[in-house]
Amino acid sequence: MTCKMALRGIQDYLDDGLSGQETIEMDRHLEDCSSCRQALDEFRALQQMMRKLDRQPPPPDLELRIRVAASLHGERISLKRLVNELGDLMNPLAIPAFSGVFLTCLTFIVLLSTLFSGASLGSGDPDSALGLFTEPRARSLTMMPVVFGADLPFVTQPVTVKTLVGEDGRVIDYTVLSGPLDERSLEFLDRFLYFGVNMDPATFLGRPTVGTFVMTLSFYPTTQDRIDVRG
Amino acid sequence: MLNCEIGLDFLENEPALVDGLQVGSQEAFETLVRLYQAPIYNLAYRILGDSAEASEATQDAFVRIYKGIGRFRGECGLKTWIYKIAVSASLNRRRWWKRWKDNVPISLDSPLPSYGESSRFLEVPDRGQSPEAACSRRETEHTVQRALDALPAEYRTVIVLREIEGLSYEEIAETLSISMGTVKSRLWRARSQLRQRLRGLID
Repeated sequence: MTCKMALRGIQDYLDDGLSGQETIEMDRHLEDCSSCRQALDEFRALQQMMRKLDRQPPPPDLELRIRVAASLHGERISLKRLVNELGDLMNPLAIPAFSGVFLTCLTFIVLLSTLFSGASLGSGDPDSALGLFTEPRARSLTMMPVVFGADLPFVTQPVTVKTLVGEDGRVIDYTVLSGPLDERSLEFLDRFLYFGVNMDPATFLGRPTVGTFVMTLSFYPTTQDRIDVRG
Repeated sequence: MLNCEIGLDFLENEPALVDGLQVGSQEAFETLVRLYQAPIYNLAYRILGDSAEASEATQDAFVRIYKGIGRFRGECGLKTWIYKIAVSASLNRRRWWKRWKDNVPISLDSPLPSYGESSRFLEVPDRGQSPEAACSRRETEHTVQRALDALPAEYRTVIVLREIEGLSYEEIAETLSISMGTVKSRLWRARSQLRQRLRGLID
């Protein structure tokens, strides 16, 4: 065994970590090598000196301080536990309570928006639903603008139009979905829809608004005063 | 005397002590404090080199034990688990204390350290020694503690656990969550450095 190997093994030798064979080899080396023996003696002396150090007695009040600190912490834990238990107790009530609050808020919002929209709660028309959207409805149709305008021929085929009805109940624009699209027919429809149709406008939360209305018109030129409207 | 004051069951039966602690038994906690306050204080004292700081670290360690005992699952022994917490509390305290000490100006009127904060260091129990022997012992104690203080914290912790607290390599490795190889290498370096510093005493 070399001195380098011996030095490497000194710690295990001190701490009884060498095998039997290694211990024998180490002993043999130490008998022959004074410098390794001196190193071992020094490490052993250090070890014994440290093991003989007096154990420092804890201060007399330390035990009491530990108990006080632990009990303070214990009180905090108890408080936390109490809060948790209260939370558990409240849990079954949470959903009904939340639902109640939610419904109250919803009702309040709907009520407020109805009030701020300017709509009257007392409606003159028992059929119109307050707070909801209503479609435009045809109030009156007249052929007067067409008859007195010019000698326009009647549109003899049924025509389906999609009209955009303004807040005042007048037709703002229209699109022919089916029916004749020639210039004369469109002029006829212009006069009839823009000047001969009067409608109830669409409403939202009781307030007039722009809406669309699709209708199919069939004109009867022979009687001149009959118009069938479906829509 | 200890057995008269505390529950015998807990002393003889570690699982019963752990069970008692986990259900919040006051008696179990008192038993634990009485069993471990001296070793933890001594360990903290050797790591920190100051009695007041060692007291604080011991207190911190017991509060942590009290808080954490519910999570103790017995993967390691109770002693190892407690030492792990004590070492951690001491090292934390040391870091905090070192920063604080470095930032606090020292008044010229404050007492000298050897007669002030470290005065407990000189309190060696009377063993019927002659005054000369007691004085020599105090000096040795002081010199060794200074040499320990001069070691890096990781070396000091390992050698204190091994030589003063008498833990095995395996226990040290578990306590510090390091490998056995690291324990051995740190211990060797700590011993080598102490041998250099204390050559005058061990020759």
